[in-house]
Amino acid sequence: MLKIQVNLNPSRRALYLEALARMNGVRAVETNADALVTDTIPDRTLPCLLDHPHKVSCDQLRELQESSTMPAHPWRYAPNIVPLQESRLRGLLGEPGLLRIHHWLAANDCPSSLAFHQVDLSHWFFSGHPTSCYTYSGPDYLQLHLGYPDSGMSLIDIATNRNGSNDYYSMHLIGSHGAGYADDHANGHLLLNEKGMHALIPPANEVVTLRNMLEEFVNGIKENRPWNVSPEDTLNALRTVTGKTDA
Amino acid sequence: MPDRIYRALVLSVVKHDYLPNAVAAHPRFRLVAVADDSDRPQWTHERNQIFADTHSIPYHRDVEAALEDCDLVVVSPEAERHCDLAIRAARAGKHIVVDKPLSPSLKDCDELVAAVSEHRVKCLVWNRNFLPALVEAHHNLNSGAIGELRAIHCDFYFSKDAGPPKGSQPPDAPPINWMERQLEAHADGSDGGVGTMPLGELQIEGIYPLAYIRMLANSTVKRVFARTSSHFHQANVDNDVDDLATVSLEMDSGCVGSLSLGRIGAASHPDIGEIKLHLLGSKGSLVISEARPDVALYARDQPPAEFKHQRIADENNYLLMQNFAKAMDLDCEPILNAAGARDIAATVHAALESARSGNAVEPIR
Repeated sequence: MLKIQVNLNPSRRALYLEALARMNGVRAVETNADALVTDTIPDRTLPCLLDHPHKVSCDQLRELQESSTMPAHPWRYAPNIVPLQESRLRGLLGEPGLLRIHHWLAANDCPSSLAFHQVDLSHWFFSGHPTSCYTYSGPDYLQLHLGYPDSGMSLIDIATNRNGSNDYYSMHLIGSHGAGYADDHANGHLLLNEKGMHALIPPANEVVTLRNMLEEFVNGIKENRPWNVSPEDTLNALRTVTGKTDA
Repeated sequence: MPDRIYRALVLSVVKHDYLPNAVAAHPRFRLVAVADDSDRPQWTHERNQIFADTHSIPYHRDVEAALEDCDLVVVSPEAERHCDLAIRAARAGKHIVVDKPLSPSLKDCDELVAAVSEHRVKCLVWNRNFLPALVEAHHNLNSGAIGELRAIHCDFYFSKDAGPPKGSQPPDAPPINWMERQLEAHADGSDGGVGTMPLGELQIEGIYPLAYIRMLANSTVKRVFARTSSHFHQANVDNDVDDLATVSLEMDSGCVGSLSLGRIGAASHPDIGEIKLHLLGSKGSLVISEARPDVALYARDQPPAEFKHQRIADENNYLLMQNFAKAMDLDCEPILNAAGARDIAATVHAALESARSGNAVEPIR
């Protein structure tokens, strides 16, 4: 039984605890932990899952590269992303050629702060760093056009402060042998009432996402192997988002 | 007084025949003949003759003589001949319906625009702007449903094959001849790139999504950044033309946008391909699937290549020709005229230049 201590703010902690409760072979504890989940720089004595790693300074991330720290890149473990990546790894999609992402949010956040996750997905799918990056940004809007070696290309647009309360996500990956589509448009439901017809977009299941990510964290510890995401991945995504090669 | 019936001369019908068939199907138009130049290759004459026989109309091997007995022409040869035939018709005072793309040559496009203007004829360039989803999107934008348009994105993928997949040929195999490949493709109607000049997907199909964007944004493109690749088909690799592309767009209106486009292979989608529009406005957003409305049909013994989702209520052909009849009746401009298609050709030209150079490029005005 692996004992995990979650040191996060109450709302975030509640999500992680709910995810841990759905897993076998692990137990949430308050003391004497075997591993930590935290959003502050860990003391390196225990394996650590670092939540919101993109909010840590780049210098600190560099220092963590030699430590037993898995940065939390939850989008890699989201239910709508996992099947695409698994298909890619099985070779069903062939060589990735084009990734397209639309992410529109009601929250009044800075688009570039949200771009980190989508850029990381792009790097992950193309297994490398972009060789070109063309951006357009405006108020509440960011468009990224990335180019990868072997002619891979990625178009990402992020809009924030959108009207209403729904977020919207659409992603597809076109490979040389096949394609995957993960799209709120196709996954929406309809509500018909006195105000007319409205689309209902199910929210991404955050608990399932965290559970998937925690499973990788726990399995990496149990199998004494590197995790499939590293602080270097965090740094690479930040470099692309900020446009700074020395980020 | 009954509406006038316009007499249409088909000028070469050597690739897919949807355009002249659409003209023939509209009650305001009647096909009178097919014509082409006498010095065209034999396969050209054979295809022209087949179409003429199918419609029980004569085939003339003299364009100028045939032009004397018609009100308009329907131009559907190889893309590289579109403008030549259309300009000759304009000089004869005939209205023009011309297949897409207008031309791979901007110079030819400019000459057609000038000829259309000088001879005061109407020119409709084929497009899909009257598909039900586009009509819906246009209506909602015009009614202010999402406020001022800020960004527009279009995905335009045809899930069709185009000969041998990339990398599937033996190492010592000769390069695939573009024209021979296109002649083979005639059997399944995917020969939009027929001609001596190899054309990538941006050049062949880019006009469709860029016409959507032009209509909905109501603006011209001022700067593009693009990437292209030959990702799927050996014919595209061997002839150094794209089958996958992404284009970022900045428009004069301040609206921004993007286009992703490709001939992505039959395995990559259950139907014709993912074709979608994402629009961001100041007050809301629109997500439009170009293929909808459709009806799903699944059955035992269904041919594997048959689309499982069939589009319904598609009146694009009828509405385009209705639009063109109105343009001729009332001396107004059709939904996509030669000047508009020329601007789109300039955007495609700039995108290809951007992909080559790695820099943002301004389309030639």
